[in-house]
Amino acid sequence: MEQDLRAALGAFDVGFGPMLPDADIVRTGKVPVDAYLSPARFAREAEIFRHVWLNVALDAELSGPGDWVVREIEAASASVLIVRGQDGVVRAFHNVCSHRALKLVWGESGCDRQFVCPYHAWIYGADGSLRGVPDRVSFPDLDPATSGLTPINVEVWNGLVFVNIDANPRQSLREFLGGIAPLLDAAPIGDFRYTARLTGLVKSNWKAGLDAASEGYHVQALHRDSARDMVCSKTNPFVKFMSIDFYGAHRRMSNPRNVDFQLPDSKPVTKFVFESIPQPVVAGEGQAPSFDLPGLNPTHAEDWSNDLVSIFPNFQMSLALNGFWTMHYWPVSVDSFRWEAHYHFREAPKSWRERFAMEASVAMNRDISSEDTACTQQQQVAMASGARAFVQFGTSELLCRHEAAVMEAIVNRSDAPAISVAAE
Amino acid sequence: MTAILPAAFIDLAPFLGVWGDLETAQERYLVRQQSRMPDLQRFYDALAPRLVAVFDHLDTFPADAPLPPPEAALFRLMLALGEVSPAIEIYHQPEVPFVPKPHVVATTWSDGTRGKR
Repeated sequence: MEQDLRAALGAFDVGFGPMLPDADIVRTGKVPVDAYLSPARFAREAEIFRHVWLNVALDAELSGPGDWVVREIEAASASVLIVRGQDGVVRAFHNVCSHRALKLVWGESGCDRQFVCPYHAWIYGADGSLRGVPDRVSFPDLDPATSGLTPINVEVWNGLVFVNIDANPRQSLREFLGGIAPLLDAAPIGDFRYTARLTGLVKSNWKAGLDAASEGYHVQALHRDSARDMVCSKTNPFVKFMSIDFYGAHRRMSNPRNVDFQLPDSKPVTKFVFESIPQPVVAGEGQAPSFDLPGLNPTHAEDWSNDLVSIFPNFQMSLALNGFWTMHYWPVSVDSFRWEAHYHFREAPKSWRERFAMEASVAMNRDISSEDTACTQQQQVAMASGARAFVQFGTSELLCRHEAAVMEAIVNRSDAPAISVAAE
Repeated sequence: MTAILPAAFIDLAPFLGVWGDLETAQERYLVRQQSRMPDLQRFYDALAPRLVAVFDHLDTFPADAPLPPPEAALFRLMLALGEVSPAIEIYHQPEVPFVPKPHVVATTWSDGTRGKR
């Protein structure tokens, strides 16, 4: 454990210069409750979202020319339009019309050659250029060259689409990812083309959501009705990570499963679902891993379930035996976040049985995640009571410690914006 | 009632009124949360024993083309069974414990077949 703690103290740089995680948090696990409650603290965290690379989409969502998605980054007050041009290039823009600064595209995804503003029908190409202005003569001073959509920096890394809201990013995506990039390089993300995307609002601080996804300790209690028997084993009842690595601000952690798990006959629908398709989240028996990559499951544990790849600040990708899933925790306000999950299957269903099983599997996983979000909502209310000054993460919750320690260091950096008294 | 079912499954028709027209996971999830446990149990008890028979029938149709209307209605009923089964098999109550209702979770699939309007 001392070796893991020391590893968690390593330097990182996410664009604000080299820093060290807060050593006190890494060593003691104690994090002031104020980090989850203070509006001023939240404002500083939201500001970070305006400057670092953020994963917002998969390349596979933009498979053909004209394919587009809109993604909201509430912390940066940004709506981002990401589109593959007719030339095949993926571009990102602020989703804002140059005429009256209106939200341009109101839908969530589609395929179009051009975008027409709903207000007065200004027209933009997939390359962001202004293509048409109704009653053009009324705008004698309009400069079309500077009235295209405002670009946002975008980079695609092995199938993962990242944007940086900063007009002048402090780092390239490669610099931002640092040592964890090779793990992403090796992951066959593009092989998984059939995806369910889920999103919903949760009334708790975004870091509480991230915490719950960063440790297995809670599975034996909170998920006792659902996931416990699949995950908690006789030898590892508290679901301690089997190995952990830190790559600057990012991390990788191997998680176990219960190899003795067998679906009871008393749950015939669940059993049918599990027998119909390989489960991306909890592994079945005897299946070859989808992610047999250097760096994953480094201890070669037989009870390996998945490796959690945790990318600062809010993105977690779990590479498992039969697929992968991702979680995003999008800060909305100090006491709310938007939960976003993607469950990826290797291929489209080949039968109606498989289609049913994928739907039901995603519903079950949504319910398990809802156990987490119900919990963090209770936590937010309780934290506000002031009964406790700090939370305390155990050594098996080391990922939570590291996440908190990295964030603490960044918000306390010397060039951080001053906390205004009025904001409190 | 807007659709009929394949002949072998016509006895499931009473459930079409509640579940037969729901196209998206979000809609099914909301109806599940609003339902009473005895109604969910009745639905589950009627459909769960038919799982294998239903899919033996549905899988005589290609997976990449639209089903005929009666089969499509039957499939929507089965998707509803998938939504209801955690309430019966895991939680023993309609909603996930202590999740405030209505709990809205938007769900979309990458092939756009379900979840989009």
